[in-house]
Amino acid sequence: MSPAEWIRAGLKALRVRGWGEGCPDGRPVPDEDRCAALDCDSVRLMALTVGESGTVSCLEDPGSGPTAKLAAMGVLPGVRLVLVQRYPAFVFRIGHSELAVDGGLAGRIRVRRDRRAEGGSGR
Amino acid sequence: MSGGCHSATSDHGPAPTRGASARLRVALVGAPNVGKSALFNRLTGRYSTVSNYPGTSVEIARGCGTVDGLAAEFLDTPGLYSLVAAGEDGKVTRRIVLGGDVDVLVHVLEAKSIARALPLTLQLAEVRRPLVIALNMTDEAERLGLRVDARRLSARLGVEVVPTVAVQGRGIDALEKAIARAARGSVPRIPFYANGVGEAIRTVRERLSGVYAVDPAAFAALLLQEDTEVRATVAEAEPDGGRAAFAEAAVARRKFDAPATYRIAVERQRVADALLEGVVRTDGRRSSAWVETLGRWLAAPFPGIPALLLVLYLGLYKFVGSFGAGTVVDWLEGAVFEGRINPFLESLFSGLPWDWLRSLFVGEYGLLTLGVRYAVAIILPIVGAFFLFFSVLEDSGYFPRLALLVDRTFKRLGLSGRAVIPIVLGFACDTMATMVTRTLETKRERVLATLLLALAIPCSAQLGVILAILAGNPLAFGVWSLVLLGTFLLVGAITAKLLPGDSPYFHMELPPLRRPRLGNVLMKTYARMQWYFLEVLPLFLLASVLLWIGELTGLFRLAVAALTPVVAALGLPAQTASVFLFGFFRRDYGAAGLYDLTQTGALDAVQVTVAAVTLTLFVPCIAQFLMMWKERGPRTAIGMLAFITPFAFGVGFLVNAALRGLWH
Repeated sequence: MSPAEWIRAGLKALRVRGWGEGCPDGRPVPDEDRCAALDCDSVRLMALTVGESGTVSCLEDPGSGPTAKLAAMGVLPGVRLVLVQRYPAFVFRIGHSELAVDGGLAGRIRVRRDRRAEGGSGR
Repeated sequence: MSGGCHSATSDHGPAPTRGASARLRVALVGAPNVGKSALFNRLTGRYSTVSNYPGTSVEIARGCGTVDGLAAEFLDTPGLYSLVAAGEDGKVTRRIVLGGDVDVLVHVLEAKSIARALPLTLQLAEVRRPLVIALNMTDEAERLGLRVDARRLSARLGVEVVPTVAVQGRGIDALEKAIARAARGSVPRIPFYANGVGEAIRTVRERLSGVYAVDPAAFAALLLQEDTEVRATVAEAEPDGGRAAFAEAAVARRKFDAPATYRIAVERQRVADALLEGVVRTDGRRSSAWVETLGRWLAAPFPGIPALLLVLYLGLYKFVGSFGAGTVVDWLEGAVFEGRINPFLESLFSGLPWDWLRSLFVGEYGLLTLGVRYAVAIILPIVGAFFLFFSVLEDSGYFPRLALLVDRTFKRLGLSGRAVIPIVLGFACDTMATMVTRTLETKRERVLATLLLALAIPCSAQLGVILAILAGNPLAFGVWSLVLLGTFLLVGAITAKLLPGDSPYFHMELPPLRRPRLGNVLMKTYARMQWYFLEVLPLFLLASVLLWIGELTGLFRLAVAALTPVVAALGLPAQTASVFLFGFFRRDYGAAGLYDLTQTGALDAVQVTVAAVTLTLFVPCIAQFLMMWKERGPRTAIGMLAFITPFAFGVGFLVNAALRGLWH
């Protein structure tokens, strides 16, 4: 690994320690699933079908560069989006703007589906 | 409006320090595609290359104007969404914002996406320099039924909010007055952050006792987010090397239940949303249905790809090819140059006694008869037509959709869809495209794109002539296109595997499709033509001089002799050696030389194909090579040259062997 990669790995270890440990049922939060553990109802953006809407619940790997890009573009918890395209990239609408991301970035976005029939949450 | 100012120069460096008779320094900051460049144009009367595609205004354009009677200098900066994840060119904007050399910051944002832009406003407010908000594209917002209460927002933020429509020139006077007022010393309030964020920033800021160009709070926030550049700045500015500040930041970070960058971003958005409560009114209208559908179609493989082919056919083949390379060139070459200018020049120079001097100007490779003639009569119209075509596509908002379409394929070449811009631009001018590779996010992408541009993308100067050569022979054309496409994909894929580094991500905003505005298109085309005229053409003339020297000293003949055996191995006659030699100096010369050869019937169909393929793959022209040197460094540039030369001949050899083999 190059020096830069060592530093990044080290920083990552530091950040991971910042998470609150523990899941509701007492088990430790698995590394890849930290975001999902906070909210059982969230699914990955890819799980939505075209036309489905949802509210972003959290972003995976929050300290990383790619996630920071998503955050900078305005994809943040509480933001409502509608998926309008899945192939060749994921396109969703936030407000009146359309954003496109590839699978690698889309996989980091966790969304709480809008339940229309049950009249549930979704602000 | 635009006051007298010597010239708008583009440069990449930091602003020079202000003199006594100072102009007010105003920087336009904001996300890509919000209309910064259009606003810049209105404020200065000059155009920096505006584009609908993020990252094209890479250089810092400066222009002069007046605000309410005060002399001002405006800076148009590269787009960025946030000071944190700034990207390669965004970093330049950040340095300007944090550098303290700017008197007034103007945050330009799109009215319709104000909720996403306001977090950046808050970051700019933390810098505590005079700040004005230009609420641009209010016309589009109105069409969507959105209304922003600028006055209310202004009161809440403590910053003037001026609605503008830059492309129509509305709100410019009000903006100028607001800038003048802000310059008189009003400084925005520090935003109040809750949820531990405000406290964290405060505790870190308290540890910053050094001297900073702008308010240390901005540095404190970035330090919390572990920004490496800011870390270095703090280490330099602090007497203790920043140790106390770093320690405090580490402590503060541990108090958050998630990475600091994330928590701070979330909090900023929460504050932004709260500020916008009751400020933005919407009637739920949506944009025009058929425009949306068309935009959707163009971004999907079907009908996006057929649409792309149609666009290429109409734009490239018909407009650039038939009209530009055909009609206009014929007219310029024939009626203007051969008809009037050349005879005039020849008679003008006939008085010169020295043969060698005369040949420099009006000889076979004369500066004027060949160098300038080619540049003006052949290259300029073709490149101009291409730039025009490109600008139309750009202004319509098509390119982000094209980027989306090619992203998956490009990923296999180690590039993201965003690289489609330099690649497409390469068909106009590879030199300009190599410069535009700056906008790609990772070094790996930049190197890969530069290689592909040098190898497999023929520029329009070359393309026009090659198409003329192969036009009569559809089979030759097919082979040529296939070999080029295959080279592009194969070399791209293999180099991507060999070059270490992360795969790029693809993220892009898709602006709505718009009808291209004639004024915009013309100005963009003009800006590019101007660049081409000043940066590339002089190098072509230099190449002509070098050729003349080479011919005079006999060096040229030596080089041709050396190349002849190589060329023979490809099954080509000896005359083609000089074609390749020309091709290095100027791609169009090489292609034209080949054209002449085919006219004399010296080559059969297979030879024409082999020569065309090899010539296209052959080395970049002098201008492009120099740009590669400048952008990627001498080692990379020479390395690429060392690869491309034998590769081109190698492919020529294979094509020759394959075609001959098939024929017999």
